[in-house]
Amino acid sequence: MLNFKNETTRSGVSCLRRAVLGAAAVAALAVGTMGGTFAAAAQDYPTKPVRIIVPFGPGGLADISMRLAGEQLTQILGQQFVVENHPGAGGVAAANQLLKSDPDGHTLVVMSNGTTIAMSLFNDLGYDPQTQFAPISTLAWFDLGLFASPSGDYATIGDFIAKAKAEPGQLNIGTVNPGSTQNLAAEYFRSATDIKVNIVAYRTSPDILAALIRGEIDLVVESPTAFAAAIKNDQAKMLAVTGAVRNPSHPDVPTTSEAGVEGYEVSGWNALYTLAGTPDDVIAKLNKAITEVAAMPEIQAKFAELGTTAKALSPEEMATQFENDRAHWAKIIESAGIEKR
Amino acid sequence: MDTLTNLGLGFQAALSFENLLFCLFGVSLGTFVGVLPGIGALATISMCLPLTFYLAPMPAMIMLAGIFYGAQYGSSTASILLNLPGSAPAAITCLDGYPMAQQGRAGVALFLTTIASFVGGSFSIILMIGFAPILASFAISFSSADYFSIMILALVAASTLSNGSFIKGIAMVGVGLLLGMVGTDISSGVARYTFGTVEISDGISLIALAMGLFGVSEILSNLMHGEHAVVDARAITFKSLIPTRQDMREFWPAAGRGSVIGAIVGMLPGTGPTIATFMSYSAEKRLSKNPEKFGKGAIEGISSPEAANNSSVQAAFIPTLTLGIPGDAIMAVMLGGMLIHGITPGPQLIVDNPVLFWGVIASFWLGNIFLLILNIPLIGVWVRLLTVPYHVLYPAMLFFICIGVYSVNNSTFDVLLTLMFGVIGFGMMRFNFPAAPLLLGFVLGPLLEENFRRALVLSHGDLGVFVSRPVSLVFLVLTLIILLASVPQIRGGLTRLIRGRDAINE
Amino acid sequence: MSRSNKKLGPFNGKHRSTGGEGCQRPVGWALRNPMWNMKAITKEQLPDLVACGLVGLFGLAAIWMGASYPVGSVTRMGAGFFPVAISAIVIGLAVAAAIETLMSETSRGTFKWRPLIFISVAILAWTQLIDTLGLIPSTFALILISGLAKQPFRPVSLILTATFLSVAGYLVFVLGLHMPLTLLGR
Repeated sequence: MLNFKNETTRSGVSCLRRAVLGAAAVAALAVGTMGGTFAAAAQDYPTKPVRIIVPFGPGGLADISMRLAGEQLTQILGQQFVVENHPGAGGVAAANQLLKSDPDGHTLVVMSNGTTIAMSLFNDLGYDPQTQFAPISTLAWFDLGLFASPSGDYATIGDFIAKAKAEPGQLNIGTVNPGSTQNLAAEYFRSATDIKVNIVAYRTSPDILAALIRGEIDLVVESPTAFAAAIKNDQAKMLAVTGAVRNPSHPDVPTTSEAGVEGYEVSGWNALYTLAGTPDDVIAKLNKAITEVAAMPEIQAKFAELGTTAKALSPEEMATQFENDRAHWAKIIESAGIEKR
Repeated sequence: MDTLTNLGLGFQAALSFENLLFCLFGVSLGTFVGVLPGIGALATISMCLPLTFYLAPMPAMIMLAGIFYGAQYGSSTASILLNLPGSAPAAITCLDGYPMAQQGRAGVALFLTTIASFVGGSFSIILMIGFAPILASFAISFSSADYFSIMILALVAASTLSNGSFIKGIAMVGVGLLLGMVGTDISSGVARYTFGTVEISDGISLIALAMGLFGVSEILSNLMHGEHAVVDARAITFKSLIPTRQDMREFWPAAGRGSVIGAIVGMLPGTGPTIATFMSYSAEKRLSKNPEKFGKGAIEGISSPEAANNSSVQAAFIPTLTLGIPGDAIMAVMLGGMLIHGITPGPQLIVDNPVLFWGVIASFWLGNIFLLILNIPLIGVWVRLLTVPYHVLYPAMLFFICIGVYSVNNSTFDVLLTLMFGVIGFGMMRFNFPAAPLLLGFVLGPLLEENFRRALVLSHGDLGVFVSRPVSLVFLVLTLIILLASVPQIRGGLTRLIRGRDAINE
Repeated sequence: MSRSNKKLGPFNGKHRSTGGEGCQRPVGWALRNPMWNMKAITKEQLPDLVACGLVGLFGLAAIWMGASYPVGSVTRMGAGFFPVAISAIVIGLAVAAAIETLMSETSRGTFKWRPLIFISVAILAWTQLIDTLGLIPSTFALILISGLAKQPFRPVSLILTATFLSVAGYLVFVLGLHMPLTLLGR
């Protein structure tokens, strides 16, 4: 067509240079449009069904709370929010699903305080949530509870601690598997109160309840959700909650700090994360939607029935929470001498 | 009597149109899902759980429960027809069900397993109606030492599972025990035999193991050695589907025994239908006057385990509904579902909401009747499956195996495990190493260890706890009796070993 | 028990000379144990022995890895106690099974490579394709490759089967049971 090399325009700019500049301009426009598409993507987001990857099996707290939230998010954002269960130790199976996806906000993963524990518990987790993932918001918060048998000798935590000090090595605290939040909370309790008790691990929460009924164990550290039925059936009595403030569903139960274990606090939460590199507006949109969901009265009510509180955080607050918890549990695991896997 | 009035109320509620509809839907879905290998009641119930949010509590519970016990009716179908268990408990039904199918008696086998399931289910329902609270407290009183002793009994009883070499059978139990230890040790948190991979840090998937050992290995074996018997469609007459009088004579006592064993095992939280079926099979074999017929199409070999299967599954509701203590993962999911509906199962439930409690129990029985009516005509349909030419059948079986195993954890790793166990299982078949004891060892191993260690922690290191607790003592004595009764067999095995006689009974 | 059974193997005569039935004195027997006098391990027994050997090897690996976990004592079991104990038993049983094999005649079985290779490749293909390309490609790969394991290869009926299964599978597993699978693509 044109001979670029030697021709010059009237302004003296060589045609070649013009062509290159023109091409660059077109390229810039294309990129700009794509970027604009990304920006427009945030406007249009979500454009297809969104996967919520849950690293636990169906029927658990995380699963049910995410399904409830998912229904509402579907209404608010106009696309299906579908829960997928990818259970596996350390949340790795779920994390791998996220890592295989695109940073467009259509794949979300559930992280929990369990993840902050896993980071210190596993020698090589295989993923780094703090650098590879971007926080969106928390959804459900739950404290743990300390339970005893209603027909037993302990009316308060103080009673238990006193008996434990009087009879070292005789009393048993029951929890689920080692490395779980409940188990670590028990370890933390043991070191914070400086008592000699046995921490007995059971496979599932119902096993612990059965053991409590049999009188095999004296104290249980479990989530009030798991023991909700037991409380109503008068099979277990909650002596204290481990959070910073009292549980609104059980206003008579003191916190562990109030009950005599100064400074002892364990809070659990689950949260939604997505891939790092997802556009900020997409994250902001999701955060806004989740905040809206968490504030809904029906959600608050259903969550309360599950024994949890619905509360959202901003992405920045989320990141801080994660780091604080990670450091805290790392210290506990260290001092309790728990083996890394 | 108070119970009868309550029951009457329950039936009244259960017979409402809505409840009947959801019952029918639940049991049909359950049967269908049960037939499919791999995917089972747990996955289905979990998926249906959100649907139930829109229903009233009673139809929701009825439907979910229907899926659960319905799945047990269907799981033996593929075991009998294709030597491919629909679920781990159904693996035992392969042992005698498949030979029956190869002898042309598939219809009879399917018919008898359906009746056996109904007998087992009804037995547990009657127990539930009459004695639920007592049984529940009894079941809960079982401590770790007691569980351990039951498991030891199951283990020793399992030594009779295989027909061939006694030594090889025990070796496979040992291998199964070791495979069961792969994963994170529940008592100490140490990761064992995981090679750092996360996929097996929770243990080897039971379904992957069962499908590989029984399903893939069977396909490999058939391809290498000969054909799976293809049935001529014209040979399937109505008459061939009906059992003979002799069959029925053998059937009823076996089904009865299976129901009892299943109920006892099912009631205990933490034990599952797998242990129930294995134990009932072993019991039948030991009690039988001619144990050699087992593994070749013995009627007792399918009736007892099937009755035990359904009986244990139905009995699992006893602690769940009465005390609010779910016996296994499926029950836990259902419990979660109930809690969402604002229902708290447990002692309060019978008092606060008797209509719901008794209505659900009444629906169990209705569900079992539906299943009976549903499954019997289907037998003719299933038997026709045998007429499908093998070159199309086995790829289809592979498809269902792959997708079924995948569905449990959405994991392709599990499917690869299935392949590996398929190859290993084929090797085992070739050299007469039996697979059923391995499966049992795999299921029992972690439980045995966990309960032993916990029993000692609770007794502060006192080994005597195993004999000082009455229940534990009873089971240990039973184990001893069985061991002594096996002495002739062990002596025989050793004698054959030393004296050089042929040790393999063909 | 019949002694006239022809499966007795090469040491038939030796047994009779040690005193016959009822003579089970261990020491005397061990000295005259025909196993020491055994001439050859028959070709048929070799694969069976290898199988027993593999079981023994499995036990050895298990005991070696098991010992690396804290073992503890019977009353204070560590994570390694059970594994070590059971693997020891398995090793012993593997040896016993090998001895048993030597004492008896084993049958020759057929072995073909074709089914093993094609079934393995088929399943491998399925696992690789299901997450990346979806249900249709993976099912076709599985059915067709595994179909090659049996002669003669019948592509038409296999293609029909694969089509039917893909569709049925989609209806049942994806639409019905909400499994996160795609028909085609990621």
